[in-house]
Amino acid sequence: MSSAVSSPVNPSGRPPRPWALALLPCLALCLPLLLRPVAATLTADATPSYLPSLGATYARRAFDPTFREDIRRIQPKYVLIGDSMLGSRIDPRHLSYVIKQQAWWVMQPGTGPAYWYLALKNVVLGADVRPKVVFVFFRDFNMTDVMFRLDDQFRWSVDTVAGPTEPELDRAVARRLEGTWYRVPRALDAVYGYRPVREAADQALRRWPPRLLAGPAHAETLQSHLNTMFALEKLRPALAADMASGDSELGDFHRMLPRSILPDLIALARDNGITLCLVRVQRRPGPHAPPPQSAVLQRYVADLRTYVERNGAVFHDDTGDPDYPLDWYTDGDHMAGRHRQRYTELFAQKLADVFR
Amino acid sequence: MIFHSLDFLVFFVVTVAVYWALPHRWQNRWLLVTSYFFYGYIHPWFLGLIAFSTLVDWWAARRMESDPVHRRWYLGLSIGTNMGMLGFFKYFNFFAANLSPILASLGLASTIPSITVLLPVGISFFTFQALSYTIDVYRGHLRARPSLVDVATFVALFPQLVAGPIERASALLPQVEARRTFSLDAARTGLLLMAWGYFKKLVVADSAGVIANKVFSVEAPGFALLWAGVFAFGLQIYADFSAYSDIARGTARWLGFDLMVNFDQPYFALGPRDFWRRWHISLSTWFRDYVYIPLGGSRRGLPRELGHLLLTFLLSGLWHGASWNFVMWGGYHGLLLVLSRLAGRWLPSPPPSAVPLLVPFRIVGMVLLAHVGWLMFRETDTAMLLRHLTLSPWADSALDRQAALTLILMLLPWAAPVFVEGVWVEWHRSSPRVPPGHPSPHPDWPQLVLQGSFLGAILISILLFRSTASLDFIYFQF
Repeated sequence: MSSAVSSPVNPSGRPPRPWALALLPCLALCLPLLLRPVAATLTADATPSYLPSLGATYARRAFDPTFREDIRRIQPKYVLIGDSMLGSRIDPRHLSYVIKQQAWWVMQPGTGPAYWYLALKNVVLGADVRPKVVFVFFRDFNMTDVMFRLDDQFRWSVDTVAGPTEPELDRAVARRLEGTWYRVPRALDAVYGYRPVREAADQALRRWPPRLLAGPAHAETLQSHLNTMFALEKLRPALAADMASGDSELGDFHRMLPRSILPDLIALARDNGITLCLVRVQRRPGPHAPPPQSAVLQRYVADLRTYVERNGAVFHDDTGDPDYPLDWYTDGDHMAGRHRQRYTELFAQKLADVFR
Repeated sequence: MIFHSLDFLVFFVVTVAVYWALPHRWQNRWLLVTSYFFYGYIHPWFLGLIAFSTLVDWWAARRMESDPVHRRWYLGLSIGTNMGMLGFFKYFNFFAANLSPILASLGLASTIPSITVLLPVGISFFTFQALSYTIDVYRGHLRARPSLVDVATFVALFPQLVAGPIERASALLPQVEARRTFSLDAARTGLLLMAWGYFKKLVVADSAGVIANKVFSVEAPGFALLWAGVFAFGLQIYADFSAYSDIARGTARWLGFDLMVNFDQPYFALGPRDFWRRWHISLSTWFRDYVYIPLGGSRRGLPRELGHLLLTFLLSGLWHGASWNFVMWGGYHGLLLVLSRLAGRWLPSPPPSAVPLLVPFRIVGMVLLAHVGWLMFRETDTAMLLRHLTLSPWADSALDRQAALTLILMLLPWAAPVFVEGVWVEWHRSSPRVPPGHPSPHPDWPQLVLQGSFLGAILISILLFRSTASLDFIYFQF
């Protein structure tokens, strides 16, 4: 606004005194108070979210007690938590057979650390079970990326393990989204109550173009066509690989750690006398070589290992293990079902100290 | 440190509060300390570079005056130091990667190692700013300054250190040396500039950037989708970079400095030449004064003039980044200027009555030409760029076109305020009643109410529409 801020010369009359300039900040700070009544109208009948940092209100799915009941019934000594990386590698019944002790899992494809943390808190500990060891399976930068699989597409699965409020997770999300000063937006929200209006405005801004172009009846079709244009398989290979190896923020362990749920996960396990074991699965390797690892990723993993071990947890890394060659893999980083039992046996063997 | 962080706001409040409590001599020292803190906040080792460059330039300028016989040598030392730093950190890998195949094809050893080192933020900006000092001293346009603190403050002044405007020594150094007094009016206009800058960055640029980044993450976008992404990027880069300049200028006003206007509604330009009078003005005038004119400018006949234009723009492209797409972008704009120069010379001028009627067509035409350039700027993969440039609009389905149009409509709410600002400024520029560019020292009550409401509306917009994707300023990478 190079000239927009340049006001025309006051042609006549006595100019306001300098103190009148205080009008500017006063108006600036008071005008947004108009958002409060709008927010009150919008939230009159809405359900408060268990993660207010992602939205003041949220129509969630109900908590799913299935896993908790399984855990309560089986009373496992070893619990494995993870997504399809775990699901395509481990057979928990076979593991119980191999180690001759009860093992069970909380496995949900398309999940990330938010789900894994809540699974330990609300499913395992919520079942009043204190396993000896809890394993959490992850890939590369996931463990400190609290927003991984917490977006609209995957949020429903987190609902199934979330309680009515999740203050620790919400704080981690807020730190991730707002940084060190995450309390400032919260304070602003406390004063202006802007978040519900923001969410309503966001929805409106997303919806009007497809409705205008295709009409209300076909807006969904147009929106889903737009979504398919950005589907995973349409992205450039480096992005589609979900590697984020070039992402300097995700690859900076010390920057990401305070913005993640990992310290809470470790503390939760420690406070309940549980040994936590983080298992980094190997991504899809080359024909005769381990998967490529950028310098950023190598440094990140080294920092993660140091942190985890310094905090009394165990770190296990499959990467570079020649026992898991390319022909064990099906799509992406998933292993073929026919190798699950063998992987489970090798897993028990390689982590014999933990299972002892 | 980045402007759009709360760290910066705390830093700024503390800096300003202490600054005005100090006597003039100490103000510059305080500014230098805070500017170095600002610059070294994330990577303190960057400070070594800026300090070294400043020391060499200060000493070389002093020697130019005390030893005029050898002043060419001292200028060479200053240019060599600054360009050497820039070349090493920014261009070494680029040249190594391009030289290796050439050497290999000649049968020579081709193992030029690449270096893994972070590009120091803002290096292209502060080296050019520092060079303006030594070159102007060499030319006799400026006296060498005895105070190292003043020169260092000029090079490192934090509002414009990382992404400009690239200030000239002749404009900024006297301000550094002069006694400054706090002005409520400067604070008021500074606040308005900062607020508008934050709006453009947090609401407009980052929202448009999300769409642009999405489109450019697709491996093989169709014609319509690609151009929706290009238009998103065109909006993003303007809002992003002009936002930085506005915040820089607003911040500087709080400290008693007046920085140059860096953007003047470039998307209302009537042609390539006009575009470069309005886009990144501090850089284009730098290249004009320190490259184009020394090469000979327009003084040596038309063919040489066109050659100088092309060369200047190729170098300007390379300044933006060590990648062929930036060179192509520079070459493209150089070519546009050459063609417009030739058209101005050889094509008949339209009748005066038709000139106003042509204005909208010229503006739209230049916007489209600028966006062809933005495609080259944004797509760093040369093979992909060539693919994009050969896309056929007829290959898209109707649904593809509708989807792309959806993205463009999503951009409209963000483009609208920027467009309205442009219309407002252009209208005032042509209105004889309002002298543009001179803020009133005494706004009246209605103006104060209007400006307060403007600030309130900005705060509401930032609260409601701030993009959740907090992207870095684009020009940080240069």
